[in-house]
Amino acid sequence: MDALASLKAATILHWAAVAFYSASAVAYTVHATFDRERAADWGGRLALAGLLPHAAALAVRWVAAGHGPYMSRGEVLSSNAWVAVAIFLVAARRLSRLRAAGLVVMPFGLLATAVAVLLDPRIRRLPPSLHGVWLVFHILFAKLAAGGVLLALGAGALYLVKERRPEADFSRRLPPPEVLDAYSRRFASFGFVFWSVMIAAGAIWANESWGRYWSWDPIETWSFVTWLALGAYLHLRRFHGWRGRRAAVLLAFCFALSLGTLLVVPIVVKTLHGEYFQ
Amino acid sequence: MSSARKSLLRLAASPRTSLACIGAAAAAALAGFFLPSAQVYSSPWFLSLALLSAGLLAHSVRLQLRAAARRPRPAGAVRLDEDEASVAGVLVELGYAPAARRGTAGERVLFFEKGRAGRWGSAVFHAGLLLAIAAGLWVYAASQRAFLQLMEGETFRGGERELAILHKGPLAGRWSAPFGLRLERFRDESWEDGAPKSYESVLTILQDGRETVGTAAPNRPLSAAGVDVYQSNHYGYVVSLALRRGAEHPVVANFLLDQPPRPGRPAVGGSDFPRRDWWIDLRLQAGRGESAPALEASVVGDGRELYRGPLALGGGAVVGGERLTWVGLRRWSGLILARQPGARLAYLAFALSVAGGALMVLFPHRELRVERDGRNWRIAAVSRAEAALAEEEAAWAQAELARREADAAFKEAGDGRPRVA
Repeated sequence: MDALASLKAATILHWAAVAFYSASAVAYTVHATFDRERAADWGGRLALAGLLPHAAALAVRWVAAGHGPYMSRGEVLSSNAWVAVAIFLVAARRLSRLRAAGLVVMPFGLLATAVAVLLDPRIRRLPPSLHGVWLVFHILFAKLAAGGVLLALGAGALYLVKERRPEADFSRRLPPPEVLDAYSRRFASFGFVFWSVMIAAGAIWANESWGRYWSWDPIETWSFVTWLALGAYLHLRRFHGWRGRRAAVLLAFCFALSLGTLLVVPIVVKTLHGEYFQ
Repeated sequence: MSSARKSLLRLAASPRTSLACIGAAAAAALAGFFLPSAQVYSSPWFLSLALLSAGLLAHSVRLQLRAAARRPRPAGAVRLDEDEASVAGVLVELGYAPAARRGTAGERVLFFEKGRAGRWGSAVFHAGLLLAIAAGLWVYAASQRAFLQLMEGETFRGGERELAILHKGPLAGRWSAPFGLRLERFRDESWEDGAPKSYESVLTILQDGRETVGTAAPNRPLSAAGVDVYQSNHYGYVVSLALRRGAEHPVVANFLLDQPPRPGRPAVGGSDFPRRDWWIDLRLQAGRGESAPALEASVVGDGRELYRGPLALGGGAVVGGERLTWVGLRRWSGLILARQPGARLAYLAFALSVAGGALMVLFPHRELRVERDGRNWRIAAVSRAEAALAEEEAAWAQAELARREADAAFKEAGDGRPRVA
């Protein structure tokens, strides 16, 4: 398949994923608004159905580009969305009571994928300095970390819904608030550990590339600040009794920081590190 | 130990102090984003913050290790009585294992726990952070990092004066590289759209009278005598010009031009010409494949433009009464030479932090307490950290145990045997 045919195929597959994710987001909204249990089942099935063409789109583009989906804005957004949806589906399968978090996760996945399709589809070559296995670990764990924090945000959002409207039919089906709060903390912990691995792998790769494992590059700095914010969140929960609403609001702030680090700083500040999002 | 010292140590290990350090580190990191970073990250106050954090971490790790080690170990295999087997069976399904048992018949209390390894996670993680700070301070203090521009055929003899840029930590001492480097060849390849595909330097390392040839490429550095040689992404062309006045010996100067930012664009640069009060601006179209390189030169001297026009490779022009000849075109490569004594410690630190974090998250420690309540068992969560989830598991186990006991009683009644009250 030549490059143009590959891009066309990837675009069509992406649009198929967008369609499924849209339907899934609608299904979760119906589940929340009209308390239809089956709508949540459909939400999961449609999300899974969307993952397949989405994975195919990423694979086709990977083969055409000769590198993974991390060298342009579209690729980064699309692959982040895929990982976030996949993490959500795995978590929802093991903890079916949390599948209502799809109300938060699926709109994000949909938005990221749709924006990705609308961006410049041209393939960008991988600069020679961006090769290496540590870079792959660095990028993979960045996506897993973002997905973990997004899922924590989802659980936190459910907590706020339950707290605000405890008598609503939708709320009554949710786990107790303390349990939602606890899951929010667990997923935030996962996000924190993955973020730590991301920083460590990136530092090792930087050292092998440029002989310096930390250079206070803007993205490194903001990544460090995000990591500290997640650490502060966990400390406040563990030692200062932060629970419930306060913790959920702080987690939302951490999520915003993580989004800003991954997607905003590379646009605002032009550095070699930010090449992946140009 | 004096009470003042005790209070100080208690303050050092307090959660409030940890939080204050985290906040200070974030503020310091952000300061470097908005202010000139060199002023911030090398400043005494930033280094003091790093040292303070290291001290607090060291004390915290010591306390955490002591606390984790102090927990009683399970007393070998806890022997369960027949009536305890039912509750143990339910809890084992949840991943719990019997840990201890206290009291005598009628007042027995059983403890079940899971994720025992996770108790060490926090200590290991914070030990990794401590090592990371130590490694960072060591690298900052003792590392040497230099940028070297080497032309094809040129030899670097290891001296400080040959380096274009040199950064040394305050305790690093004089630069010394007990080896030489000769750039044999610089090779680069581009994609069809002109984006760089690969670039590398073929180098000969001259050490102890021996010559070793190696290649430095992105992510594939060379090493010699404790110094790592990295391929920089700065490279370009060397235009060699000779200037001859009458029958005098020609003066040859090398002008290093950076690689053009985009394909098809010229490499440009300018510099003064040695032993003349001239300034030369150059524009080079390097030429690929069969196309020959083309050079445009502009020479300014004595307050006026002395020459502007093309120069052919091997040919020249008369400039200010002298013969200017383009004698050579070759490549130059940027190399980064780094000596980082603490880098391996940093790798160990990362591994420890990741291992500790994984222990905390993958093996969350939970403990359940099981005791008799009349004829029934009462299961309650003991854990503080994962209280809500442990309580849920306790509630599930309680309900499951009741269901199984009811099923067992029903089956016995169905067999005609006496119903168990």
